[in-house]
Amino acid sequence: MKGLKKYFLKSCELTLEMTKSEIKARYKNAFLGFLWAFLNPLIQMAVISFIFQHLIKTPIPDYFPFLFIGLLVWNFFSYSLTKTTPSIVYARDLIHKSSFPREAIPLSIIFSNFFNLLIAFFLFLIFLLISQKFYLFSNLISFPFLISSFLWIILLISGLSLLCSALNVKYRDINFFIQALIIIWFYATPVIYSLNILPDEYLKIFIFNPVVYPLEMIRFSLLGTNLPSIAIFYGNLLITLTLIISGFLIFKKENKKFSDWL
Amino acid sequence: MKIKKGFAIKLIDVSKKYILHHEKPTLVENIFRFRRKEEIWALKDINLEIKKGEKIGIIGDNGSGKTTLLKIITGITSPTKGELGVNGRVAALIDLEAGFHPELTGEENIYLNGMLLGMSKEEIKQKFTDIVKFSGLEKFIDTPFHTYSSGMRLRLGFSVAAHSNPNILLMDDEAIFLGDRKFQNKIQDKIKDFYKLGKTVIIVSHWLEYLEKNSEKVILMKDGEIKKIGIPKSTISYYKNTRFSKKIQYY
Repeated sequence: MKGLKKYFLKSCELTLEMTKSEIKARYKNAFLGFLWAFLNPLIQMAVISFIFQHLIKTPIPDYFPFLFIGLLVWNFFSYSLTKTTPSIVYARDLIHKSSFPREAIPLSIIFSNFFNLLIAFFLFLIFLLISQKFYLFSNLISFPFLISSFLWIILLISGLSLLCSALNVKYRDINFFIQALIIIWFYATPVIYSLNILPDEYLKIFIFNPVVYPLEMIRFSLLGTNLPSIAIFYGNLLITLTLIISGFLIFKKENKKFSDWL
Repeated sequence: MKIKKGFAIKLIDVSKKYILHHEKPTLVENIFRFRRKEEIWALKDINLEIKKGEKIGIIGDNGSGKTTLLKIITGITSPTKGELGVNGRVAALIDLEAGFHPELTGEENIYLNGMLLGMSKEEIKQKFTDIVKFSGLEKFIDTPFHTYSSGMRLRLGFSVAAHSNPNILLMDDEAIFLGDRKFQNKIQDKIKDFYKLGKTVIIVSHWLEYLEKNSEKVILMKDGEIKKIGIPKSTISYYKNTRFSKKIQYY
């Protein structure tokens, strides 16, 4: 029991240090530095919102902030997943060198991406304040909602990343599978469209997409849009928990064999 | 498993199986069972006890299981069968160039690398000046790692690992033959320090004369088994003789 606690602390310390290194390395040579975290989704938003507001007329009110939140969360999710899946294979040299807590490799990628998300998020809050579309402090319930939705998305991507990065060591085509999946997944997630505009019979599909509920929770807490049905909540929660538990167990099991397969 | 005091490393019936891959492993292959499975036993029923403070040398031909043995002791890979007990912190001076981030400075990399080797942040802070001084890279410590020459990288890698306060030190030829004369002397001094402090030192090398002079016990590995273990002189001469007689058979 004592050994487990020691291991956990060591793993946390290492993950934190690797996260810091990742963040430092990313912005070291970039001229605009941290601003890129905000500029990236902004450019993406400009293009997409031009298409949906001028070429295809969207019925969604306040499309800019709606889209921006969707892109922030989706970019964090997809970028983390595509980067963590091959991360253990890429860290081959390290794995042959020393026996450190290996989960620090994918987790540090996730946390450094989350740091990016937070920067862009705070800049976005300032934007919301200025444009007076701010809903957050007018509704007290939205604050815990916001924090728990971030927590949900972090736990979801952690579970999924542990699962994919561990399996990718043994089956290298998992990486290609994820790259294909992430494109389909984008359209299966209400990033550029809203669940409100879909016919009811399609809504059942979203039960199986665990990104939907946390994303809609963030929109609810900031913009006051309505939440998806309770069925989607339970479905998403169940899949998230399954991914976390299976990710943790499979990583723990495969972890010992990493150096044999690399 | 409890290990009695006095033992640094204990292996009981340790075996290691590797599956030979001829191609990159994939899921599709696995489902349709295309893969030919070839197994290799890199270690076979190894029983070994190394006492605290012993100076051990390991010799043997390529492919005899020396590296696998080191990897098992460091915990990089786990045994397929058998039990392993290690008493104290292990530092392996292998793959010295790994675990550095090319975009970060030498200083930032010392922290990153040190923590990957199991040191805490506080420990590294205390030893930081020693690490830099030993590596001889005082001037370059705030420049990015990608600007370092490969010699500088190896020196920094050695320096961090050697200062990780290990109870058991493992090293191979890469570390012994590292750098110029001056740095090699530094390494030898460091190894002597470890001897003085009563640490267990295990050296895997093809440099037989060196091991004959600097170790108390030499282990000869052959085809995944311990062929002979004993005082350096007899093990090494046994190794030389068997190697030689085999050559004669060929001609």
